[in-house]
Amino acid sequence: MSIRISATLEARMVDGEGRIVCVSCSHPLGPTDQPWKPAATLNELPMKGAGGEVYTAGDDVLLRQFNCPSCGKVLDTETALRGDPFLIDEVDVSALSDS
Amino acid sequence: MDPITFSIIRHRLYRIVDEAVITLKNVSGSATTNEGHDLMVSLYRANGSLLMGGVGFLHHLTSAAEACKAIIRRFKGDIHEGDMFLLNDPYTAALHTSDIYLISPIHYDDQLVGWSACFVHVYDIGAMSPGGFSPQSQDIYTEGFSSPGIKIIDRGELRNDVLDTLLNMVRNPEMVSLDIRSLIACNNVARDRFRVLIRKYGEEIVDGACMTLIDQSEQLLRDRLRELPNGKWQSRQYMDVNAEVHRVGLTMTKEDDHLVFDFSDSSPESPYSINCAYWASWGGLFAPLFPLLCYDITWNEGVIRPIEMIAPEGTIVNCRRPAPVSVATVGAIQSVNNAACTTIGKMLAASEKYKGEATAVWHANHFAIFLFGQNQRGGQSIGILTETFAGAGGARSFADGVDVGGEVPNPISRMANVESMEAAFPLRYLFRRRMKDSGGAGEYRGGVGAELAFVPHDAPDGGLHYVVSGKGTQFPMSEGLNGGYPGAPNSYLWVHSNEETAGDAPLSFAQSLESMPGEKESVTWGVYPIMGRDGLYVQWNGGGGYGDPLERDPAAVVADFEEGVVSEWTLRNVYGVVIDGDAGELDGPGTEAARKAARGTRLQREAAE
Repeated sequence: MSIRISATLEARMVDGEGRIVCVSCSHPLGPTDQPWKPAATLNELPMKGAGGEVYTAGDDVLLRQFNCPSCGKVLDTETALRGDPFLIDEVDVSALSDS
Repeated sequence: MDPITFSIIRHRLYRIVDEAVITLKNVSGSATTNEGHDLMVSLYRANGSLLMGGVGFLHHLTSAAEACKAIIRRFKGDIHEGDMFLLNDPYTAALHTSDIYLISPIHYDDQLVGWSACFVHVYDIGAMSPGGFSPQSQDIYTEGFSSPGIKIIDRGELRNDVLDTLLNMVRNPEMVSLDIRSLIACNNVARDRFRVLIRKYGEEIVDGACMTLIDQSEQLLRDRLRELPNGKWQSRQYMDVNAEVHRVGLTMTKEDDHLVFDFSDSSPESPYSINCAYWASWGGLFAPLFPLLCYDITWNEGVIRPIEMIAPEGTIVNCRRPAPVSVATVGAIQSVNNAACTTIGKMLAASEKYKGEATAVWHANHFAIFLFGQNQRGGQSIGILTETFAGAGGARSFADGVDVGGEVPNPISRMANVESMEAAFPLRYLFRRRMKDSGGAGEYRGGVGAELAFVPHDAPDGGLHYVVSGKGTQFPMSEGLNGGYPGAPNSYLWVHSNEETAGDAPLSFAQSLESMPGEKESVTWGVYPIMGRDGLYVQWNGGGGYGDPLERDPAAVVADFEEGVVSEWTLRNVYGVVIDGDAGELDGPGTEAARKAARGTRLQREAAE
C-alpha cells in the first residue's frame, strides 16, 4: 500500500516502518512523521538569472531545489529569502499504519 | 420541489447575472470595465449572504456580501423598494476605495427578497494619484472618497446631492458619473429579472430553490473535501516595495470537510498601501478556491460555510484603520490569493482523484500602471494599462500554462487592443509580445507573460504621467508546483532617450528593449513622467512551472525555442537539451547525456538539513 503525498513523493511501508519515498526511484527520505526536506539534497540557486536573463531578482532571493539524493529528480521547489525556513507540508498518512 | 423547476430556477439565476454584466459593460465608457473586465455582479439573499456568485473579480463575491450586511445594519428600517446604496470603505467591506459597490435591495410585494450588488473600478476616486492606486498615500485619508454606506437612490429617485458630492471630489466627473450609472443600470436589470422570476414561480418556490441551491453547494464542497487528503500545506509570498520586504505566510489545514487558512505568519501592516483589511483577505482566499475546488459547484454561501480564516489584526492581511490600502488588490489581496492557490494546488496534487486539477500559480506579480494627462483631443484621460489583466497561466499536471492566459481571480479578464489604448491616450506602442523565458520551467512550462514599450505621440503636453505600484520586481511570485520553477518577475524601465544619453539614435521605431537607445532606469513605486523622447518598457510575469524541467519532452523545448518563448541559454542550462548548432535540430543522444550529467551534479549537493 502507498499513499500519495505529491506528484514526486509517496508514503510506503519499508521494513515495517512508514517511510516517505521518492516516486521515481523508491529511495526513502525518512519516517512519515518527520519532514522529508532535510533528507533531500539542496540546490540553492540565486534566483537572479535562474531561468534566464529575465529573472531579475534581488541578491538574497533563492530558488531552492530539493532533489532526490538517489536519482537526482527535483522533488519540490520554493522561492526563499536567504535564511528563511523551509516550507513544511504534511499529509495525513495514518491509514498506512492502519493497513 | 421537482428537480426540473429547481434546475430552471438555478439557470435563470445564472442568466440574470450574465445579463446584468452585459448591461454594465454596455453602459460603462471605461476600457477598464468593458475591455479589462474589472467588474463583478452577484446576487445575494435577503440577509445579505451570497446566493449566486457571478463572473469578474472573484475576491469581490464575499466582500460584497459583507457590504450588503453592512447596509442592512446601517439602514435597518429605512430600506425601501427602489433604493440603492453606495459603499466603498475598505474597513467596512470593500477592497479599496476605487472599487465602488452599488447595492440594490430587491423587493416583491413590499417584502425584501434579495439583493443585487456590483462593482467597477471607477475612473477616479479623488485619491492623491489619479486612478485610485495611490502609492504615495500614507493613510486611508488620502486615498479618496470613502463611504461606509450611503443611499444614492431613494425609492427610485437619484439623490443628486449625494452623487454631486462624490463627483465634486473626483477627477473626470463625467466619466465617474458614467461608471455610477452603469452600476445603477446593472442593478436595475438584475432586480427586474429577479422579480420576473418570482412573479412566474412564486416567492415560496424561488426562495426554496435558493435555499436548496446553497445547501447543495455546501454538501458538494464538503463531499469533495472529504475525498481530498487531510494535511497541512504551507506557502509564502514576498512583496518588495522600495527595498522593504513584506511577507504573506500561509498554513492551510484540511481536516475532514473543513479548511482553515491561517495567515498568522504574515508581516505587520506596512506603511505602504499594499495592506488589506480583513474582508479583503477573506475575499482573496476565495478567489482561487471558487475555481479550483468549486469549478462545478454554484458559488454561494454554501461554499463559504466549511471555510475558516485566521488573519491576526495589525498584520498586512488585516490592517487597522487608517493604514493605507489603495494598492491592496495587486498587493496583499493578490498575495493571499497566490498563497491560497499554492496550498490548494499542493492539496490537489496529493490526491489521486484530483491531481489533474492541480495548477501552479497564475499571474502572481499582478502589476498596476495608471496613465493620466491631457489627451490628443484636449481632454483629460485616466486609465489603467489593461495589460495588467493579461496574466500568464500556471502549468498543470498535464499541460503547459496558457501564454498570456489571464488570471485565476478573474475568469473573464483580458486586455484591450493596442489601438484602444492609443485612441484613449496620446501614446504609440513600439511593441507588445510574449516575453521569452518568462514562463516558469518545468516538465510542463508555465505560460509566458509579455513585454511592451510605448512612447508619447501627438501629446499636447509633450507626454503623460503614470502611477506605478510595482511590487514584484525583486521576487518571482508565481510559484511552481512539484519541482517547477516560478515564473519570472516583473520589470518597469523608464527609458531616458534624450540627446545626452542617446544622441541622435531614434527611439520611435525600436523593436526591442535592446534597441531602445538611452539610459534605462528601473521605476517601481510612485508617479513618473513619460515626456518628449522618453519611453516606458514593461515586462510582466509568467506562470509557475510544474515538475522537473529535466523531465520535459525535449521536442517541446525545441519547439518553444523555435517559437521564441525559450532562449538557447535556458534550453541548454535549465532543460538540459542539446541542439545541433547549425541545423538547430534536437540532438537526442546529446540531450540524454546532458541531462544525466545535470542529475549527477544534483547528487553532489549537500543534504538540506
